[in-house]
Amino acid sequence: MRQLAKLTWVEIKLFARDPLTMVFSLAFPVFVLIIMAGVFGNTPDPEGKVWAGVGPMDYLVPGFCGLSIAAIGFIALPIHLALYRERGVLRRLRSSSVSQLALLLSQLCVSALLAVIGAAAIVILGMAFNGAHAPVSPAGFAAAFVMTVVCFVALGVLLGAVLPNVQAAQAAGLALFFVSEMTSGVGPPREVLPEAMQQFARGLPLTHAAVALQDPWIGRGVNFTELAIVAGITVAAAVLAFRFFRWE
Amino acid sequence: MPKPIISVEHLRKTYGHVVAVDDLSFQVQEGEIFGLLGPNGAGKTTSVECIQALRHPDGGEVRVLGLDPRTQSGELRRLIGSQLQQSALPDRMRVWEALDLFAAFAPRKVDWRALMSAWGLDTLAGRAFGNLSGGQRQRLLIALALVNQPKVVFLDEMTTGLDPAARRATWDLIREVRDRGCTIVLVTHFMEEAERLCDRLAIVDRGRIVATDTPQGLISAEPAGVRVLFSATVKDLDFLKKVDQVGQVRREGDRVEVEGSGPVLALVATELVKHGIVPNDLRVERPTLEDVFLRLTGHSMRD
Repeated sequence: MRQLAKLTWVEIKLFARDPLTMVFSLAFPVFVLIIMAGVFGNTPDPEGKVWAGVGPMDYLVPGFCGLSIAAIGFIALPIHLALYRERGVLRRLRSSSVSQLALLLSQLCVSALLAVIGAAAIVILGMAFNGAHAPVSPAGFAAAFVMTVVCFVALGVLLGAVLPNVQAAQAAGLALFFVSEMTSGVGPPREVLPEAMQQFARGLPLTHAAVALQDPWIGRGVNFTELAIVAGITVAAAVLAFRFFRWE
Repeated sequence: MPKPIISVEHLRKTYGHVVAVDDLSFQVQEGEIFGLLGPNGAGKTTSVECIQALRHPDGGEVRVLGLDPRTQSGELRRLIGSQLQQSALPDRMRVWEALDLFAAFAPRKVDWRALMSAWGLDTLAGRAFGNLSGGQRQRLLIALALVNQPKVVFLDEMTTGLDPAARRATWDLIREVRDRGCTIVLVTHFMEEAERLCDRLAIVDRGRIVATDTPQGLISAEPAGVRVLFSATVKDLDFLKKVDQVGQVRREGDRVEVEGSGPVLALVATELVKHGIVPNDLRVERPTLEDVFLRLTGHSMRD
């Protein structure tokens, strides 16, 4: 417990000192949301066809909370772990009897904190300055948020474990992130994508996480199907991540 | 002889077809500085990594503090300290943070501030790891190996990157650590370090141990003996051949080389003075661990 608390606190401080990672995982989704707000505002599509029939901001704010989590899971975490392994930091920690569980839990704690900060920025920006409405079911949104964080941390650790080095982690992470952003309904609305692309997006975890986050926010209730899919991905990724994690 | 704190028997580790450690056996006694000396690639690092439960050996028996690294790795790592090659800290981690963090991994509460000043790191406390020089990093990594007050500490090429003064200071500090009762296993390819610092030494070559003894024991067993060198213009030096302990006398112009053993320097010097020869360049060359290594393995350390 003491190990975990110390490790988490040091990791938080290190993250705060690293402006590049900070900009990418926290500020990037915020910048994109500002652009989206400027382009689309929060007036619903008169025909009710896109943005799930609600205002673009109401649709995008919960989705962007997911995007911010995806930035942590796809980009920040795999690169962080690959770098630690490449530099011998993991080797150093291991020889001081740091357990794999403590190390991975500390990554979960730091990521959760970042996700909350990122989401707070997005929600404040959306609601206070761009007319987004408050979530219809805050508890449903919170549940989906927690699930999404755990899911992407597991995916991030898995990527960090299986990708051989920092370059590979950067390439794979950025590719996954941008493909997810464009097709998972957290940029262009899902409805405008061609059918084939929508099919493809169903294979991406962010698509399911985004719907799970959006539905309780816009009044469609908790989407148990999507939550179950996210949970399934989480379990699979966590088992594989724990199995394939390498110290060196 | 007391029960050894580390015992290694027939340790073997291969990577595919490459045999890193062939058949390695040695024992370390409590409270000594035990060295593994050998050229790069001799299998020293792989061996100590197996002993520290960082690698799985293919064969052999290892016990450290009565624990088996294969099955009791967690318990073992809490009791030992290690300074590894190719290990580092995050660039933005500060010196004091590193010590504070690794102290938190120790089984009991430890005072890392005393350690920080003993290793001359207090003036660097707020400096980030990425901004430390090679020698400063090395000092921090050694301090981290000691922060959990280990019973056994493994130091792998610990003076790499240190200048000669810092190297000597490090040796003094390591002796102090030993004097407080800690057992030290030192991996080095640096002859002077092995000779000056180790209480006992194993010479490792191609995954095997070729000799184990005290540095003095290894050197004095060297038949090459002692060479006394000086310059003299006097023609007749035959009187030296009658001196005790003297073997051969060779000269090349003014340069004279007397080969002998034991206290030959004092005996030769006395005889020279008696004959009115007082060379101001009289010096002695003793066999070094390099000679020992060459004789035992048939090749030089640098091959």
